[in-house]
Amino acid sequence: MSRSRTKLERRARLLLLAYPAGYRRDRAEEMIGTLLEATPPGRSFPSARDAWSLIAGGRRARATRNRAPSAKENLRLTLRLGISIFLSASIDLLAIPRGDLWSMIAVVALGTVLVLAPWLNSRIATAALILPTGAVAAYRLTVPVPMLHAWQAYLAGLLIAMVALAALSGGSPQPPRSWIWLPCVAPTALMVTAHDSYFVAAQWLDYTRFLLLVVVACWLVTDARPAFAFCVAELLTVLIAIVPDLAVSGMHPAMLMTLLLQFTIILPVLLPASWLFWRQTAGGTSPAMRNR
Amino acid sequence: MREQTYFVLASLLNGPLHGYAIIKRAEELSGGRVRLATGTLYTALNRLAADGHVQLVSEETVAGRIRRSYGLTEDGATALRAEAQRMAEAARVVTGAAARTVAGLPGRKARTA
Repeated sequence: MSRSRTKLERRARLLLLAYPAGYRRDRAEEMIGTLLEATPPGRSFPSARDAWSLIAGGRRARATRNRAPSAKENLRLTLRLGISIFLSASIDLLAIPRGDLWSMIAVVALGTVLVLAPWLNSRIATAALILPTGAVAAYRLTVPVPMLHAWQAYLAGLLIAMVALAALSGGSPQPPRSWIWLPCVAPTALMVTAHDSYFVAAQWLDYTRFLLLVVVACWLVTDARPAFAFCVAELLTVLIAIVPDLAVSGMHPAMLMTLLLQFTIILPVLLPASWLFWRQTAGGTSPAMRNR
Repeated sequence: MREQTYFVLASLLNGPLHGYAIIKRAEELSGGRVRLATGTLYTALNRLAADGHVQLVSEETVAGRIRRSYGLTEDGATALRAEAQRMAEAARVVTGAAARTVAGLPGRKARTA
């Protein structure tokens, strides 16, 4: 093969990354063959039309893949991812007190759950993985600390979220592989700074949340589910932060402002995400050539 | 039916073809108007296969690369004929009537607000 053909093939392969992995496995060789035949000899770049058509085709193929599960299944996947992101952003609370063996066990166990459980796709495996973290959280509930109500409400909230994650696990379908790192970003950020002060870790988690917001907003092009999951996680974070205060001292203006601010951030993501989610999951049509 | 889809189906009328041959044939049949890009062709083939209008008929390896040929199904042929019929009827509305143009009539300036 001439040098220009090799370069052309390499560039075509790069463009084919726009397609989902399963689709590429099935069709990449055939599509590259067609593209090489359709490109005049001597050219080492695909034409602008071909390049654009591959990007647009990849986007469409990804949207088709998202449509394959029913709306109910997609909602379940989204809730699972949302709870995973929420738990990963709340992991810092389990890491208190720092340097404590039980804190480390809780953080490592929950981190493992968040990385593995949604993709193990088994309720029993998820429950087994959650058990150590749940046990530490439940034990902490019995230990008296200052600001008792807020602390206990937080731990109780985390426990409920863990149970919900286990309950939603299992059954089909498998989430896309590319989601795997979404809930892991926060625990990783924490692990990096775990030896440092609580405030440094908390700041890192805030940066991480902002980064996630940007990523899921970009992801809207092909998949609304991560954005939806991010909103679920943010809503859970707001809920868990205000419910104990509400119960003890009622609503005060500072809390109202925080709430409004959170919703101002969430709404621009939630609205297009809801619309896309509805569009992408409507109908639940069969995936195209995979079933032939 | 979009023009591109119409010519992809039409290119398979004489028998199954592989990807590049479909691109060439569609261009020929449309008088050079429909020039399918690679991504567009495979998106169309996916959709047509999902609708049951085309199906994979053979697979061979050419120069170390897989080459698949697609053929028209009965449903595809029916859909294609229905579309051709619709376009022929739409064409008859125009070709069957003498056009009464405004040539020769005194023109009027459009009123401006």
